[in-house]
Amino acid sequence: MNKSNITSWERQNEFGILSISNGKENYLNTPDFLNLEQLQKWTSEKDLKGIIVRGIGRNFSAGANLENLKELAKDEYLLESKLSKGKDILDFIEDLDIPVIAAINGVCFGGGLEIALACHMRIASEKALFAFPETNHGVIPGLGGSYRLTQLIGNKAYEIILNADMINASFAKELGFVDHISDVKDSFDFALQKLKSFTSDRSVEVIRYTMQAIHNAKKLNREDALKKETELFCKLAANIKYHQTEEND
Amino acid sequence: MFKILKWHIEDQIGFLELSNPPSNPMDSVFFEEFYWWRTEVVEKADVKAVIIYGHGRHFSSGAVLDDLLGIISRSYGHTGDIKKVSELLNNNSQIFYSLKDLEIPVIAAVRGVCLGSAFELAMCTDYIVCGEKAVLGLPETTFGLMPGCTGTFVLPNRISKALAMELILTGRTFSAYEALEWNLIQKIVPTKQVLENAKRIATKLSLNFSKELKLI
Repeated sequence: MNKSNITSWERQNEFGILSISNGKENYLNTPDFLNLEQLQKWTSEKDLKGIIVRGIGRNFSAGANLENLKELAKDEYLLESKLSKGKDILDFIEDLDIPVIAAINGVCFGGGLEIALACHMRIASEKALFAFPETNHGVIPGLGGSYRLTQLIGNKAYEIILNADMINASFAKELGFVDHISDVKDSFDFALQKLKSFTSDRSVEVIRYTMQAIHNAKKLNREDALKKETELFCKLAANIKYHQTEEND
Repeated sequence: MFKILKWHIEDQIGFLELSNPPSNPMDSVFFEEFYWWRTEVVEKADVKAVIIYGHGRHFSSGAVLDDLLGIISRSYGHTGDIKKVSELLNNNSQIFYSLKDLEIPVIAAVRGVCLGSAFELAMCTDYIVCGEKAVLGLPETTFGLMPGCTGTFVLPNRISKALAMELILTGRTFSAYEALEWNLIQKIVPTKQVLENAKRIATKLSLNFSKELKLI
């Protein structure tokens, strides 16, 4: 197992498991909860087909520790640079071209929720709880959470952020920012099943090209996205033809 | 007029039938004819709406893999440049998506299977009405490919990225009821009434239609 700040990385066959581990609540002591270069190294393994992000123990993450945040805020420049590092980490996760699933047990608050929102899919245990408590403390989500939540569920995001209410798993699913509720106690097991159903019998190329195309749908304009889609499709098709010819020989 | 596409007009509604029984697969002839229909026929026709449907029990089983792979490998062999091959094939996507540029509503009337490129075509229309037993899906990844005819663009813009990822990567088929819940289709009716309903919808939509109403 490899470690970076409060996270650890391990391989389970073709999947990577990124675990947040910091006491009972998995508090994020600082916005850059891991080292980005380290994460880039871990995820660059060529045979990797998917990633699960989880919290060790009963909770995903309760987000920033208020005391730590106050301490950091004394140096405005330091806080800004830490937040910007945190954002880079989440942008990197969001842009990965293999599926990244957040497996959420227990509390998923603030920065924890922002990490989950950067993943491509959120799977929650029945008892998971969500909130952006930031406005209770006179701040707002600082790692792109308001943007990502609005992208996912539209105007309903304002209410969640401004009220800072606690939301249970089934309501989160109804609102649309949780994709599945785990039918087993530990959402990790459910997430692993899902990941297997996305990737079994699929080549790394099929997975990566598909994910790239899906990302493009939100990033590129129509014409470029369609061009890129055909290009990726043709590369896969040329592969198939090549293998078929080989078999025939 | 065409071998696979049958076009007729009734009460100012244009009917485009995919007729390649039994499952109306989309082979290279289909794509050629569809191109001609879109560029030369439909815009000159005096119609206020278009209904696309499949002959018999199915809408269409989608693109014919061997045809596609054949075109790609011949063109690749000829040019040696995957980008050039892709430019050629990109016409299919552009022409599907160009249904959005028509000033009139286009309705897909879906009975039976509607898979792969066929579902991509349906998603490029403005209204999908399905029979109760319709089977939809993008199964491309199950045979080493990915959707290549607008699917990876249109789907994530219609439903969540997570669900799009799930449907495309698992390649699983889904029912009309699931699709309605996700707002991917607009209506479910008994299979025998699909065409009749599509006509009613076409008439109604054409009354006050404006291009701005077209979905993504």
